[in-house]
Order: sequence, then structure tokens, then C-alpha cells
Amino acid sequence: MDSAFSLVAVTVIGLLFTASVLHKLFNFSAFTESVRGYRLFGSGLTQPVAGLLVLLELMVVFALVQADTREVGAILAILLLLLYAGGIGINLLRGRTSLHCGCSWGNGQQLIKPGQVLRNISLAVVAGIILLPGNGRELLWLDWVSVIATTVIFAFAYLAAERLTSFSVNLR
Amino acid sequence: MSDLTVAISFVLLWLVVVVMALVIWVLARQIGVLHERIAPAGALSLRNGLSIGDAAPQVTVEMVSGSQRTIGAANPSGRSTLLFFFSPTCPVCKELLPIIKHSSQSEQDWIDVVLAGDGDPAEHQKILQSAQMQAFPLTLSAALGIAYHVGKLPYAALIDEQGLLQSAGLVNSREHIESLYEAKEMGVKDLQTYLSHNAAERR
Repeated sequence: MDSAFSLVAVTVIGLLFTASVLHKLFNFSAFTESVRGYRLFGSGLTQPVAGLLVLLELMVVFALVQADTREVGAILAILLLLLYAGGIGINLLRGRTSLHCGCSWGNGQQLIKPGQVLRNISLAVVAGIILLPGNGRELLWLDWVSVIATTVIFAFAYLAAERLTSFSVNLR
Repeated sequence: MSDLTVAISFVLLWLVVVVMALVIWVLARQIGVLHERIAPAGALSLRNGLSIGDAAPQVTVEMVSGSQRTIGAANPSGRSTLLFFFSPTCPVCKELLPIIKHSSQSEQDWIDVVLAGDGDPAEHQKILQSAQMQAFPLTLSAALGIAYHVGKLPYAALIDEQGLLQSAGLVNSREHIESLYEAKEMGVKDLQTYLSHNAAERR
């Protein structure tokens, strides 16, 4: 994989997890409630599991920053994204569609939807790009323009998509 | 074309795409703002078979306090009933409970609030305790939810003193709850009716 693509994957996943971990830390009690809502663990485990998830997300961010720990960060990110996809999937199968997903920082009232499972799997695929062997090409300044622009566009597109999907829930 | 020209056009193209992404995001936010400011007349009706203006479904339920109460029956004392359906697992419901409490105080001369849920009484009471609403009448009845076609929570229904359904629908905010009262005062059934009426007037 070309170095520029790998770097885009690192910045996109890094940015996503940074925003996610900040949101969870600032609204830890709401996040704990969301974890409780998923009903995947005993209620005594809710707080430790929520704390562990925040810690793991923080580890993803720090691991992605360092070049030599980047692969560990990517694997952890993939596992977390698939875990969240699984949690949402299980609850959708249980028919609990009025559950708050706890996965967005734009709108506090997002309910779980099949699209979120797909979104998490797609993000896991993006994180998978980091694991592909790089071609070691030296990046030019134009590559840096592309990397920064792609990351900014991803951020805007993600926020817009989140905002737009939140109304479809309110209006249904 | 020189390398410099290619590089400049490349950077400019990226800039254009970034600006377009920004514009799309701002537009999406604007649509959200419009949704939040939408006309306050009746909660969003879910087209669920309940007919506004007709007699509300009468269901006799057992209250958590042990007494029996017939929801939907005419009230000889001339007071209306606000039926609020909630669940301990729904975060929006938790946000709305203090609003329900506040509005029951401000509208206390004509409204009785009845809280309704389904499931574990202890969980429901814990939520009410945290909102300091233990004194509110609570019933846990699946039959009541089915009778009022509650599909999504939080859901509210306003029943007038004659037992007629004045408005019912999904409520997500203070504006939605207040719109239930407004709907009664203005005689508008629900949000869709209000909007289509306005659109007809403009034509």
C-alpha cells in the first residue's frame, strides 16, 4: 500500500478515536448508561467495562501516533469497532431498536440502526489499510496536502452523515 | 504545463473539495436547526390507528401504589390527563421526566399526570426517585401501551375531561410536550395537520 494511503487511514482512525474518547471522558456517566443499555454484561460490570473501553480507545490513539506501535493500534481499533458493531447487531436482533447507541458526539439521541453496524465494519476496513505492508515511498509536500485534505473531508462528511441520520430517527 | 502549475492546480482542487465538504456539513446542521424550530403544534403523530378527537381507549390498570384506575375515562372533576409513557432504558425519557414534572406544576389547574411503563417496577421507581417524582401515579401495564399504540418512547397522550383523545405522539423535547397542550388549546390534532393546514392557507 502506498505510504500516503496508509497515512490517511492512520489520521482518519486516529481522529475518530480521539473525538470518541474525548466525548466518552466528558460524558462518562452518559456513556456508562449506554453500556448498561446494551445489556451485554451484568450490571455490576457496567462501570468497569465502560472504563476499560475508554482506556482501550485511549491506547488506540497513543499507539497510532508512534510508527512502531501503529499496527498494534490498528488491530485494537479493528477489534473495538467490530465489538461495537457486534453489540449493536445483537441488540437489533433482540428487537431493542429504541436503544441509545452511545456512539455519536454530534447528537445525544442517536438510536441504534443497522446502518451503524455497516459503518463500524467499513471503519474497521479503513483501519485494516494500516496493517497492509507499505511501499516505503517518501512523502512529498503534495502528499501531505492530500493527506490533510482527505482527513478534513472525512471529518466533515462523517459529521454531516451523523447529523442527517439523526433526523430520520426523530421523524420516523 | 510546468510542474508548478500542476502542483498549484492540485492544491486548488483539494481546497475546492474541502470547502464543498464544509458547505455540506453546514447545510446538514442548518437542516437540523430547522427541525428543532419546527412549528409547535401537536406532537409527531405516528399514524397509528388512534383517532384524535375520538374517545380515548379505556383501560383499567393497577397502579404501582396498589389502587385501580381507568385510563381514558371521563373525569367528572373536569381535569385532563397527560399520559406519559417512558422506560428506564431510554435516555431521552430521563431527560424529559424533569420537564414533565415542571409542566405538571405549571399546568396543575387542569392536568393530572399519569406515568406509564412496562417491566421491572424497581427500575422504574429508581428513575423516578432520581427525578424526585415518586409522588406521581405510576402504572406498569403492557396492555395500556398496546391500547395507545405506543411504538416509540418517550410517548405522550393528552386525554381531556370527557375522555376524548386530544393529542398523542412521540415527544422528544420540552417543545413537543408543550405542543400537546397547545394542540388542545388551538384545536389542532397533530404536527402534520398543522403543517398541511398552513400550507393550504398559503396556496
